[in-house]
Amino acid sequence: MYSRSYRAAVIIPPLAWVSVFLIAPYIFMFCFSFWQVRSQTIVHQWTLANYRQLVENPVYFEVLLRSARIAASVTLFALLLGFPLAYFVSFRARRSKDLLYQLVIVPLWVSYLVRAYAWKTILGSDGVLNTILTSSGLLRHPAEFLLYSPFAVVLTLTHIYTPFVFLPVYASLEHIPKEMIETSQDLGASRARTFWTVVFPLALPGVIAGATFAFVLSLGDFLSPLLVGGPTGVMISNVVVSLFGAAYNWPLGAAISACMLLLVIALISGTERLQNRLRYRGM
Amino acid sequence: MTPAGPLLSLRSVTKRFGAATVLDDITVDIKESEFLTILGESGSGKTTLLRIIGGFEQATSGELWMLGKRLDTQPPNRRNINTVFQHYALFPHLSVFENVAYGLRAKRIAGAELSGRVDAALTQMKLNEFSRRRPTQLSGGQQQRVAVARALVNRPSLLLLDEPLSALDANLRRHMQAELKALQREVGITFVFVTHDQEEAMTLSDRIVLLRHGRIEQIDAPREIYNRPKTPYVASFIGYTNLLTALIKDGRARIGSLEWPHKSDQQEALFSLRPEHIKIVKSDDAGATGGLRCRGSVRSRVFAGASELLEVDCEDGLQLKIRVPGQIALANDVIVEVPLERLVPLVT
Repeated sequence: MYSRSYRAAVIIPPLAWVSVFLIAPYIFMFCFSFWQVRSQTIVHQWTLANYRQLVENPVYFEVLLRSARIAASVTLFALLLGFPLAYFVSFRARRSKDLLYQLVIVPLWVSYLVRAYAWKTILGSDGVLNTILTSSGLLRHPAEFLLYSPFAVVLTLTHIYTPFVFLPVYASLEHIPKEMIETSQDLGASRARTFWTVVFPLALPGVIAGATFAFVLSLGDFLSPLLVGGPTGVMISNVVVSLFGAAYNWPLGAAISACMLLLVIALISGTERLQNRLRYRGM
Repeated sequence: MTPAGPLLSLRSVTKRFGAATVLDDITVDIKESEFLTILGESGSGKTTLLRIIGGFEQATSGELWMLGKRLDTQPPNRRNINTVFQHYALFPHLSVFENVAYGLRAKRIAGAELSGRVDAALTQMKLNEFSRRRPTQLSGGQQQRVAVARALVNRPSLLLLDEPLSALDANLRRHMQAELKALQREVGITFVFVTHDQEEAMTLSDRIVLLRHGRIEQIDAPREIYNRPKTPYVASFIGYTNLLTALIKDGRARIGSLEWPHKSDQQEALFSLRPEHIKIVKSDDAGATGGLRCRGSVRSRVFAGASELLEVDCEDGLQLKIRVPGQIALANDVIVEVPLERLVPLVT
């Protein structure tokens, strides 16, 4: 059909882009993770020392565990907020449906940094929340635990990633034919029963997709813990950042990154398989 | 045994969406065990009427009564009515068995009774071997049978069917029509069937409600509707017909050279005359059957298998569609005979 040169012209640019900006960096990263640092220089000598260190030093595992805990909390809260919101917009909002949908989307146009920073001004010791609490006499001293804590990180990330849960859940709710819900009622099921036996099972692929987004994105987040996390809210990506920065231990940072990458790929392919099993074509 | 009153009474049911009146003053009594078809073109309000009976829409005014109890104040899940939707709406995440069991589980029926009733329904619809399959693994006809089984297993007093055969191809469709009719006879449950297909309505129904622009044009048995249409719309919607305008003067009606006694206050009257009721006769000697006769010439012939449809221009300018048995020898010039009793006066 198309000439050779035309096909080459179409295929080569994206292929080059992917190779240079995606595949090559990953190869570098894996290479670095098997190299080592000796007297402040990176030595290209193959070793498993970095991975051994990750297994032997419990600090890294603890930070990873904390990151996973934070990511799991974010996922849970984003689901608890995002699902009812999606349900409401999809089934109950009627005339204000488009407006509400836009309102959920709009924050995504605002820079991530601004949204994370906003929480700093809300939660800080002279922030909005504490000012209200102290001036109204509810608190004598500003609450210090609000900012620079895992709590602040979870709160900020939940705010940022709830739309990522909302969108796939909303999409799968919108795909449920109205007739199917009417059929359930027609067969004698109450609203609650219809929800649990029809709506929720059919929305599950969206729930899983949303949960995967929230979990994976939170797990690798480094800005929120940096801005509002404080010393107790440090997450795995902050460790990687410092290893590549001040600590100047790129090989160890690369090893952590490689582990994270494999972990996330395993997670995504697992949830994707689950989604495909739960998705029904021709519904 | 007491004489059975109507199963369901619709009294002056009216539905408006904003300024549009979708249903206008619908009053029908639906009898126990009858197969009633709501027939109409798209936009006639037939599906809306079905949805009001099912409880998915509220009538703007009017009442529904079922066996002496007010029905329209009950939500769909409290009505002893089940629906087979146009696209079946089978639950894709449940097996055929669980689809059929859905209504029973909602009523907290479990154990041996549940499996017994579901199996019986599956057997009735010849679905036993598919009970573990998912709906998406079934053919269109099988899916349709699951939808019917899922509704009937609840033993409703009324089954609503919203164009359930429209998604099937012609052959399967005829097959399912026969199956549905036989099923209805067997279970004795009242079926209210919505369709836009007049042939389907004629084949299946005990009675037909013909809707047009949200109003009832006629309610009658198929034979009555066909032979005694009340309005020009009914006459032309159901089958082919000749709509003839007669002039009335001195107690006689006249169409072209045809003339017969007719009493009316109006100066004009409209008649329906079915093409198959007009005869082509051999000789000009009048009077044997007492029909009205005129001479004409055949303008066109359309072969339709068992019959042939002619268009005949009569000498007096009258044009008639005439259906004759297929493959008869015909001269170009013919004599046409119209039996008087086949001229059905219409309300205009």
